[in-house]
Amino acid sequence: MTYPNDELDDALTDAAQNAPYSAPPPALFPAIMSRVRQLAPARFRIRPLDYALSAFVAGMLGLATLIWQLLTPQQLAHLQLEFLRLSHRFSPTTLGLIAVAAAVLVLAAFVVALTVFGRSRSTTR
Amino acid sequence: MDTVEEKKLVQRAQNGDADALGVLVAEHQQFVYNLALRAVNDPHEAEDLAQEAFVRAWLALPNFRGQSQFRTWLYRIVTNLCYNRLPKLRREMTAMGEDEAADFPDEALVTPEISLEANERRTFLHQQINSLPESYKILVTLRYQQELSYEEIASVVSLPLGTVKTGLFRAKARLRDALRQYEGGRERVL
Repeated sequence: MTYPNDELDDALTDAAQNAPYSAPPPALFPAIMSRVRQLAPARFRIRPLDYALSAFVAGMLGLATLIWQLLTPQQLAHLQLEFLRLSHRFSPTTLGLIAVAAAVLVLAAFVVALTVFGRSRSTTR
Repeated sequence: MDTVEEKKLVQRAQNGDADALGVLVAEHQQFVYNLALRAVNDPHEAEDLAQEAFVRAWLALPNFRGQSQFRTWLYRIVTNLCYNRLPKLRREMTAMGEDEAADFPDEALVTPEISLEANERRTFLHQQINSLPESYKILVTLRYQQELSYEEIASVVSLPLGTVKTGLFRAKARLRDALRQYEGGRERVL
């Protein structure tokens, strides 16, 4: 005897829809939640790297201010002279281009840092 | 749980609410565990995979944009973990190709009425489903137990739509053959 495909398909669909599930182990839920809670600090917490970078930037600014304060009038005049010599060596257009290139490089570095650190933060939280 | 409620829970979980994730875990853990179990055939490994899947989901939730349903996104994490654990599974699924079921329609699933005498046949088919290769088992489970569309399954298992259709077509053909033999055997006995 041959069985119509419809009947077979009905039986297949019924069996597939009602295939029994195995109960998940009772320890699964607590194990998941325990791991999740360990990995659940605030999303935007400040990490040691943030403190280190802030301290570095603040230190550099402080150092620059200190050096500026400690310069004698002679050293200051010498610096101004050096600056004038340098500015005569390059045309204003060249200086402008150098400034633009430097700004673009700083911006690019910022974007790269943001991408890299942003990604590592979102995966490690 | 309806979709709106689930979306709210997902948003809360994205904001770091572990309790909201707990509700989602409670809702989905059974299917996630069973999907993993059907792929790896080992309860301990399935438990490990299910645990890992939820932890990864928790870590990746800030990147979940809600373009797909949460469950399909979660199942994709599970299948990717299974692929990592079982490179053979990925190869088997890719090798299914997509030549046999080009015009296999995505018909709506209708639960057929089954008489009591068909229970025996159902039990037989459950055994046959369990003995299918893992790649087919995953497809059958996603299609019939979670009632995902072919497109959703393709997205979950990261395979072309045609490959998914072919896989399901072949799985059904195998089960149909087994059922014909079973019915033939019963006829001879009776």
